Order: sequence, then C-alpha cells, then structure tokens
Amino acid sequence: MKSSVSVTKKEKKGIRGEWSRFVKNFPLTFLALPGIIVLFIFNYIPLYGLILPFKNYRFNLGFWNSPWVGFTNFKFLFTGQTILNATRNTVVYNLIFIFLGTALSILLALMLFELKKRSVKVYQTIIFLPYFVSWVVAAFIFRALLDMDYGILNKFLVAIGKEPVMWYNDPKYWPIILILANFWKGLGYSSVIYYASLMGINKEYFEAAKIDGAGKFVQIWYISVPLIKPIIIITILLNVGRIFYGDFGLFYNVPLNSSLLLSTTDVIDTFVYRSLIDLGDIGMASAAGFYQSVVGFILVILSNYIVKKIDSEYVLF
Amino acid sequence: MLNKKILAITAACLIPLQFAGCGGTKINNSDVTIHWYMPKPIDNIKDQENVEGFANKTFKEKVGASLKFHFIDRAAWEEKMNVMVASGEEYDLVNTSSTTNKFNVNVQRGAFADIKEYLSQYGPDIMAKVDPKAWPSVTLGGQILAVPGQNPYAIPAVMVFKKEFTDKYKFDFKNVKSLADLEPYLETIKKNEPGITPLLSIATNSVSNAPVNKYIDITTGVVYDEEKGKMVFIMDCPETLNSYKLSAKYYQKGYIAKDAATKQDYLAEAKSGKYAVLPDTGAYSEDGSKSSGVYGYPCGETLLGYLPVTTQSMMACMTAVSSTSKHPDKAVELLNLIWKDRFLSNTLAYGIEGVNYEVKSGKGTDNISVIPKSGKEQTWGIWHNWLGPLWEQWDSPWNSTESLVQMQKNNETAKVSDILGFMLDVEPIKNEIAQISAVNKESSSVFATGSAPDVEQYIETIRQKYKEAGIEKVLAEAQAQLDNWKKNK
Repeated sequence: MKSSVSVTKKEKKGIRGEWSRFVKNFPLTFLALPGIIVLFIFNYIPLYGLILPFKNYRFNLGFWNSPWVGFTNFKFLFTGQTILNATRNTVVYNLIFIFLGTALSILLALMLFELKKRSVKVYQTIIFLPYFVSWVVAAFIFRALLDMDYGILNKFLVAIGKEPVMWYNDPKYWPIILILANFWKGLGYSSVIYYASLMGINKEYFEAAKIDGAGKFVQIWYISVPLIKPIIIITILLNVGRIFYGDFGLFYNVPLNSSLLLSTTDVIDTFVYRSLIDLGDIGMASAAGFYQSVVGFILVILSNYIVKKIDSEYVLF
Repeated sequence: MLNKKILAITAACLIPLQFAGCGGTKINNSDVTIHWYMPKPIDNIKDQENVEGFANKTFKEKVGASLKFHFIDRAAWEEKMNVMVASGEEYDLVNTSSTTNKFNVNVQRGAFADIKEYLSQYGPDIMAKVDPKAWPSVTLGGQILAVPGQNPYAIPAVMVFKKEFTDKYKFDFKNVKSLADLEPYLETIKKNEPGITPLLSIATNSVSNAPVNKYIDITTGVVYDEEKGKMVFIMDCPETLNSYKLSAKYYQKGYIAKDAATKQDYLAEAKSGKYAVLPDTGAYSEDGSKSSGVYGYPCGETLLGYLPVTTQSMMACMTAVSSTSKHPDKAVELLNLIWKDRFLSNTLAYGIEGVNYEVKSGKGTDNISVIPKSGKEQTWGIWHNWLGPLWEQWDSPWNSTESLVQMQKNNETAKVSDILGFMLDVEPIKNEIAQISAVNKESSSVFATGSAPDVEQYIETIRQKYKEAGIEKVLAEAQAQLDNWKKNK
C-alpha cells in the first residue's frame, strides 16, 4: 500500500520530505482533488462572509463599504424569554435526537445484522424510505393522522367514544410527536451506517465466540458494540457540532407553523425566521448563523477533548 | 435518422439567425429591455408575449427600449424580491408598497435608486399626474425613491357574504356594522348547514371588524391614538382586546374552523365555497360584483367603514427603480409614457382588443367603455393602479367611470390622519423590532382566529412577551421621533 511506503521513508524530514511524500502519493491526492476543490470553493472562499454579522449591510454601499456596527446585530439573540425558550428547545431536542437516536439506530442495525440476507433488503428499504420524503410532504402525512376534524387519530378516538384531541392547539403532545417524526424519518439512514460497519467485522470473532458457548447477547455486548465504537463516537461528535441548529424543515412544517405550539416547537431557526422575515436584515440573520456555528465549534472541540482524555484512540482529530 | 436530419437543419437555421440578431442590435442600439417585477395580478396569464409585443412597438418607437414583465406568484413574491435584492440581481422596475415588498425596508437597505433627476428630465407626465400630497411619503432626505400610483386612499373595511345563505335564511346583511352583529346569523348557519364553516378567519386573513378610526398603524405592536395624541401599545387598546375576545368566543362556539390557525391559503379557502361570511377583497362594490368575481360565486358585500388616510395608505401601490438598474433613465422615460399615453396604459392593463376585451361603446374615441374577458376566459390583466395611472382607466366592470370619479372625490374629502407624512425610522430599534415581530407572528394568527384555549390568560402572556421584547423602548422611540417630526413640520 502506498501509505506504508511513505511511512518507511520517514527519515526524510522538512519541506523536502513533505514534497517527496506528496509526489509519492500524488495519484491518491489527485483522486481527492475534485472533493478538495469543492470544499475550497463552497466552504473556504465564503469565509470572508464572516464579517457580515458585524456590519450594517446596505446594498447600495456594498459588502466592504457598509458601516461596522460591532456586536449590535447579536443583541436580539440574547434578550427576551422567547429566545431562551427556543434555545432550550433546540438543545434538548438535539440531545434526545443524538443520544436516543444513536442508541435506537444501533439497536436497529444489530437487529438487521441478525436477519437473513434476503429479508434484510426488505426491512432496510422499508425503514429507509421515509428518509427520501421531504418534510413538507411529511407534514401532510402527519396532518392526515392528526387533523383535528378529519384526522385518522381523532376519527378513531370519536369512534371509541372518547373526546377528540386538539393536536395542533395543545403544545404538550408535541415533544413526543416531533421526536417520533424525527426518528421515523432519520433512523433508517443512520442505522445503515452502523449496519455497514457491523458487516465489516471479521466473522471469525463470532464463530470463535460461538464455539466457546457465548450467546447472542454476549456476542453483541463483547464483540459487535466494541468493534463499532469508533464509528459511534465519530457520528456523535459530528452531531454535537450541530446541536444549536434546529432542523427547520421538521420544526416549522410538521407542526404546520401553529403558533399555539411554540412553547414546545420553537427552535432557534424558527425564531430567527419569525423575527427577521419582515425586517429582512442580512446583518442580523448572519449574526444568528454565526452564533450557532461558533457554539457548535466550541462544543465539538470540547467534546473531542473529553474523548481524548478518556481514550485518545477514538478522537476525531 | 430523420431526427438527426431535422436537428442538423434546425441548427443550420439557427446559426445565421443568431448572427443576425447580434448584428441587428449593434446597428439599432435598441436592445435595452426594461425588466419590471410585480406580483401576479391574475392566476391565469397566457397572453404576455402578445400584449408585450403589441405595447413594445410603441415603446421602441418613442422610448427606444422594450418592456418585459416578470410576474411572480403571490406566495413567493416577498421572498423572491428579498433574494433578488440580497444577491444584487439586475432589474429595473418593481412594485412596492407599505405592506408588500416594503418600501421602508428597501429604502433602508439601499435597494431603490434616487430618481429625482430622471423625473425632472424624463417624467413630466408623472410629475403632472401624481397627487402632490403623495410625494412627501416617497421623498427622503431630498431623494425621490418611488413613483406613487393613483389610488383610493381611504381603504374600505368590508364584510363579504355568500349569497346562497343570506338568501336562504333571509338575512339582511346590509345592516351588519360590526363583528358582534353577526352572532345570530353565525348561529343559524352552524345549526342548519353541516359542512359549512360560518366564519372564514384563518392565520393569514380574517373577517375584519368595524375600523376604529382613531388608531393609526405605526409599526408592529404600536399605533398612534389620534384622540390622545400619542403612541399607544396595541394591547392597551380596549377595542382591539374586545375584538380578540369576540373571536375567541366565536371559535369556542365552533363558528371558526378548528384548525384555522394552521391554514395559510385564504384565497383557496374562500374559493372552496365552504364558508358563509368572508374577508373582503380589498375593495367595495355595492352590488357585490367585486367579491363575486374574485371568489367565483355570487356574493353580497356590506361596508363597515373606511380606514383613516395615513402615510401608509398613500403608499398602497408604487413603482420604484432598482439601484441595480443599468438604465434608470430609460426606465423612468418608459414609465412616463405609460402615465402619458392612455391607450398604452389601458392596453397593458386590459390587453388586446378582440382577444382580451371587447369595446362596448365609444369606439374610435379616447374615452371608450370596454368589457374585459372574465373567469376562465381571462388570460391577461394588470390592475391600473399597479401600473400607476388609475384615473386614466377606461370604463369597465373593473371600475366604472362614476366610481373612479367617486374615488377621486373621496381622496379629496377623506378624513386625513393628523400625522400624515410621518414615517418611523426603525434603525435605532431594529433589535427590539425583530423581537416584537416574532411575538406578533406568534400571536396574530391566534388572536385573529380566536383559537387560544383561554383568551384572557393568553392576552396576558402575549402582553408580557411584548414587554420582554422591548415594546416600551419602541413606544418611547416612536413618540420621540413623532415629537421631533411635529416640531419640524
């Protein structure tokens, strides 16, 4: 393998060493080139936009000539009860999505792994399908269930002699509905990642364990889970970076933007949308994005650091 | 094989054409196209090429430029213009008002060009025909930033009734003067018409109550009280609170749809015909022809009153030149021709004779009476005030000459707000306005549909949220700006 070749020539140090390593591995680098170019164009060049949150952006003055305003654009993100509530919702929902979601998708992957090849395909397709449904469409699927006059659930409740529930007026049901909706849509996708890494485990481990008389659960606990631990930690770390981003599609569409539900459905993204849709202020909107990504960045560094303290083998960087 | 041949022939034909196109433009220098963005006036526009082609003969001859309309779906209008402005896209003319594609917002972010000089050079007819009262609302710091269209200033508050039910239950809707007067009728409908929702009030639009003339809208959450002569918080206005409570009562009684607060498309709901009392269409017609036309079934209308004339009502339909326009001079010149040439503006509005409208009387004169196609046959239409010169409109069922004259008279005599011409500068209170907008977005649909389970408690919650969002600071700032404005008046 190419990489092992470069390791053996480690004695060459400094720029010349780097260069010869670059030449040696050129074909590999070349393969990565399209990806690097895309990354550069879409993720690095726009970085100069980071000065926007600190400006009072005026279209006629342009990007560079608009006046600097310091941190005033950030103020609306830190005053009032509404944003506090939205921030709390964002973080709590995301924590549930990350931890409970990961646990459930691992469970799903382990169950898939125990199935026969044929039936796996069928199950996989079924649980993967919702991933391709857009939230806008999904919102109407949920509406068919929850509609207060004609929804399946309320029709059922009336049929068995119970009072119909005002789903879209009462915030107390929504934490559960939103979590279920998110799992319904996302579990199929995330479990496939774990399923793929389970497939990569050498079969000999399981065979040896079987000969030694280990049952299914023992195999799972001592072989499957430890061997996919790196991928679990990496996905969790990546998700922690987005903990301040509420999935707008989910939180805006599925509750049908019903404002009576805001106490449990409002997240930072929907709050920013409501605040700025009328003002249309670019500086303030980018301040919100800036705030979200900075917090995400700090959290990733922090959790990576914690993982490093515990076991440096599993860190992201 | 045949396909390939056709392809080759087409390509061969196209190449010289392209060259011809290039050559031609260079010689004539008439390739200036003025791009005009506006919301789609009617759903079914099909004759754009014909009408534009017809009008462009005149434009090319007299202005040396051609006009191209870009009609944006109403639902996407606001966002589309925001994105276009934000990305600095090039366009020339655009419709703006105090409520959609907001004039203030666009001016503050520098999206509109100062057209003062172009107007004095190329816009004599615009200058002559625009109401002099309207200019101050578009003039800021000596710059003129839009052309105010001719408009009825006093906007009527109207209730619309589906004729089928008022006839059936012999309900005298002309005597309805407020939301409260409706109660017995709503009850009758609820009892006797299963499947019909008595009142159409949803998140985006609701049946209006009688206007309270002393309150002038200033910004979200703040109104000017003409009697007290100062700015007040809307949650401190007893009339507003009563209206909220009444809606809540109607909701509890089932007169408003259960999921009203989650419904967005008011026109679709109205056209479904499943409601008995509906919001207005923005205008009033004694015989109900306006709303019958818009909703697609016989309707009756009752006039609740007129909203007071404010700075905003003078800014109901305006045309601005984009600061990204490469040809602001041509844009103004072209707009001037529309204001000048009565045949041209009516062509742009009604379409082409024989295709989009028939002449009823007065053929050959400048003052004709026409019958535009309606319903499914209507494939073209732009409202005259969106173009600007409404008073130049030919007599038609859209507006009779009498009603146009009446509108002009009303404009002269309408009750005018004390603070006409005052406009709030939101720059120093942007952060608070953002917060308040969020509270307003949260509460307005709930109040309008009355869907809060406990309205008294909900009012208190929202009042508290406004306070936290900084309504007091906004009130103080608005008051200070107003005092200052009065001093310099």
